[in-house]
Amino acid sequence: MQGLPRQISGGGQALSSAPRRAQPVWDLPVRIVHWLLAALIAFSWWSVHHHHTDWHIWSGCAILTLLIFRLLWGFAGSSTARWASFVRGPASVLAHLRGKWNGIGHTPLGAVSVVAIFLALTVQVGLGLISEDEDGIYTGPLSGLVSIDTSDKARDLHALWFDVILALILLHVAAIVYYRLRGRKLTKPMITGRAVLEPGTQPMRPGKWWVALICLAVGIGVTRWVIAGAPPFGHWTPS
Amino acid sequence: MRIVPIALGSVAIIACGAAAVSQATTTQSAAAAPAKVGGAQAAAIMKARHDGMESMGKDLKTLHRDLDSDDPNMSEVRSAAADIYKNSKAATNWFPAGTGPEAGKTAAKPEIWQNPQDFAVKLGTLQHFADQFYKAALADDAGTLKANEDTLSGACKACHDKYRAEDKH
Repeated sequence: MQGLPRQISGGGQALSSAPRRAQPVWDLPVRIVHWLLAALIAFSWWSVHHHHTDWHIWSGCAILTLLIFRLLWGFAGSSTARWASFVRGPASVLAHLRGKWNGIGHTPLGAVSVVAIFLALTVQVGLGLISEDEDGIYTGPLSGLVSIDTSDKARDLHALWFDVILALILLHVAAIVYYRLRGRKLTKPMITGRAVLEPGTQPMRPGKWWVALICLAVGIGVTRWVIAGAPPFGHWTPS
Repeated sequence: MRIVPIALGSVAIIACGAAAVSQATTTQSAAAAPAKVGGAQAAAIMKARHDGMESMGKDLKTLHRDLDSDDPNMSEVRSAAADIYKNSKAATNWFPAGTGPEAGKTAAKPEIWQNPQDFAVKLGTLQHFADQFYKAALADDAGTLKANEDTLSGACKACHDKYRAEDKH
């Protein structure tokens, strides 16, 4: 979800002919989270449609870990990973649309998309946790905390909500294609972490690796707690 | 207090409708009855099947909540176990030829009638575990019930993986 528009060397900058070196724009945790999310969302979709609901639930738990990690890394990570660096008001979005924005990381408009995808995934995981399947065979780790009726409704909503996520993903990919057509390659930096920057643009200030480990440990810990059935530790098993 | 669950179970069976099927007495009987049914009879069996399956699904959800709690409502557990037991027995007559997708909207896959032996074995397994589970419920044996909950739902799953269509019915 981080692969959104950022300011990198544009095709129209004919005058800046001197070769420039690619500089860091996305740190490793951001890239890993991005691609793991993409893979796990695809896997979640596939598994639930192929009688592997147990895998689907584990995949959702993994996504929960990633979301918690990414939330925390957004406060303690590299400059381009931080919420404060890219969550902006409408004025910034308008300025960006008028071409008056310069920097690295998510553009103000891209940031709206990032936040929307993050929130949509959080809602989806929350619904999944309290869901149970139609046949009563599979139960989300927290389904025991709500009534059968609520759990069944959550499952139906969980299925519908996927369309919201799908729409956001399509928008995300469409934006990448749009930028690509305008000569800006956004996918490669999300793989290599580097891009050629405009002269005078501040490169990414990297976060600390041990902070990333702490964020990950918290993500795993909270997920483990949820898997256990939350508050008083239930006795949840995936089927 | 044995009467309550049994009565509930019987009501569930009776509610399945006139065309549905007397209760099977053995776990060995073939799942797919030899005679092909059609028309109103097929529709009635499919309705009974759907209601019975839905009822068992609700039972599993109830069991999941009760048996995961430290203080299970054993009367609820007994009712659910009785209902699963009765319906698993009734299921012997839920799948005569002519009640597949060709007869109307159903989650029952055509594979059921292509693999009658396998289907019967899987149903027999469910009936076996449902019987044991029901006995443990009558004995108020919460430990055994908790230990066997996954085995029971696993028997449902074994069949559903292969023979239940994903679509809503």
